[in-house]
Amino acid sequence: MTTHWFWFGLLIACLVWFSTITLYVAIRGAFDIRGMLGRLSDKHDAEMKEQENMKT
Amino acid sequence: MNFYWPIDGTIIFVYLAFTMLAGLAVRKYVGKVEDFLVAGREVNLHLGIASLAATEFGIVTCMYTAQNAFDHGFAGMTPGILMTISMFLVGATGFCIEPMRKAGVMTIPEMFEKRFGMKIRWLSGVVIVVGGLLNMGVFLRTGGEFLVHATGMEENYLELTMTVLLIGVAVYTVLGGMLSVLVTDYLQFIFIALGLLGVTAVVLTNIGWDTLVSTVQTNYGEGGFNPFRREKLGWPWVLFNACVAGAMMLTWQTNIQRILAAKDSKTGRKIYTHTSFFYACRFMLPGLWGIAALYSLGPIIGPESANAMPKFLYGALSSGLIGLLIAAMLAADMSTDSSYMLTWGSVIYNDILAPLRRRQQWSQKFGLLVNRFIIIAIGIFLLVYGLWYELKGGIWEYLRLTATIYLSSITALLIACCYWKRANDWGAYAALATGAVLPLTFLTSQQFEISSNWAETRGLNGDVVGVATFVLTGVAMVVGSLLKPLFVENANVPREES
Repeated sequence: MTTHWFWFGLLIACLVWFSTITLYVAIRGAFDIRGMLGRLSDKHDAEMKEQENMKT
Repeated sequence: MNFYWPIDGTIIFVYLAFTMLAGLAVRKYVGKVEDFLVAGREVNLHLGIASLAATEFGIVTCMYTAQNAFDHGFAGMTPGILMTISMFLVGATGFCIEPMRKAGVMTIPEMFEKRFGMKIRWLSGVVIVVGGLLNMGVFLRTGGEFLVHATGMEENYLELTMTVLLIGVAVYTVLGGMLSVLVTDYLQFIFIALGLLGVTAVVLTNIGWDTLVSTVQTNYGEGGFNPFRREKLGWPWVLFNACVAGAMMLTWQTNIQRILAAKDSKTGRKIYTHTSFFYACRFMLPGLWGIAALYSLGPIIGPESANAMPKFLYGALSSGLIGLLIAAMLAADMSTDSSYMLTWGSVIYNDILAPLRRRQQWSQKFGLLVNRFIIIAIGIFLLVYGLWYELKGGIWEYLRLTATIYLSSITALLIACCYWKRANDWGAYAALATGAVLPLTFLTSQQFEISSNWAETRGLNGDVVGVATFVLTGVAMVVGSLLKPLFVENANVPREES
């Protein structure tokens, strides 16, 4: 195990990093999606109102 | 084969149903072309990481990284390290990506128009689409082959399976564009992670690290751990991979699209730095499966070595894990296919059709319709090309060379566009021509015995030609740009100013 420590260290780093980032992204990503859809919805509503104002 | 329908079938069905429904649910938020192509530039960090990682990991990735490790041991995982370093550096410094995001463009060629003019925008769009579609052309078949070998499915079902999968992906991509891609990428990233980590844990538990190391030592000696000491690799291979890695992070449109969709340039840079280590993981984890296949099946020479890993998994995984693996791989393939279809489609719409769009003043509604038709056309191309074209060599070799047609010249253009005031369209034409001619000449020469032998006796392999292409493309950009002022007045005034 100690021979080729570089590849062993890289493997451990990959396993730790990937597990952590998955958990982190799984939780925070859901909030990002909700925020993104909310902002897009607001933008569309604002554009609709602007168009209606221009018509009147 | 341990596939057990009630367990494995349910996992796959739940995954597919959930993804498709999520992809379709967000289509109502698409009102404009900008929403469709770059999600209204509202992408935040965590969603950006999930999307970039899921996009850049397809079944084809899993196959070529495993094949690299099967053929070269740990040394075959070197490109992952190079990609991690270059993505981190680009993200940390903002080199090229910051000016691009600040310019507010939707594609790379759109950036070029500001400096080099409309013709260069159009031509670079063509180069990007040709390189990108040729590259993506092998995804479908490779994915199908993985599923056939990993599940023990009859080969007759290969075409049918991949066609159904492609139609499913095309439906939500056509309707929801980037928004659907982002939401499904998020779910797919979680499935990919579960599958990659679960299968790796089984491989390490059942075979063990020491056995994997001794398998590489026995088959490849010290060259299996150090690419510089492996005869088939060596410095030209490492150098070419370094060039590809650097260029990929700067100009690969599927990567860049995440930066351009980010809510600001700071978020875009963070997406890069935070995702960079994923590139080491995507070579390392499937690479271990490849070495486990080498231990289990013994050496296989030639293109067939690509199928060693799925064949190994076929016998090694228990029920439940098989379902998770297949769901993860379907997730990987669907996220990659949807993003790639959208990306190349965005270049066709935004850049190749730009002259037509401007002349006819297309409305947002008509623009969306055209984008949707382009994605359908790309889907049909993928189906025809993917089922017709058969790879003769390693998958990674094919992907690198087709990508070089585009990466070398577009990288030279982008760096010059962002940082060299004397760059102009002469240099851009010269770089585009050099970047395409060298790899295509080499690929053609390989089809004839005389020219192939001539190249071989002079040590001209794909790696040397690849490095030469990057160097000469840069030289062409500089020489062409310096020549123009000798013949034309006001040669270096940016097009938008002139």
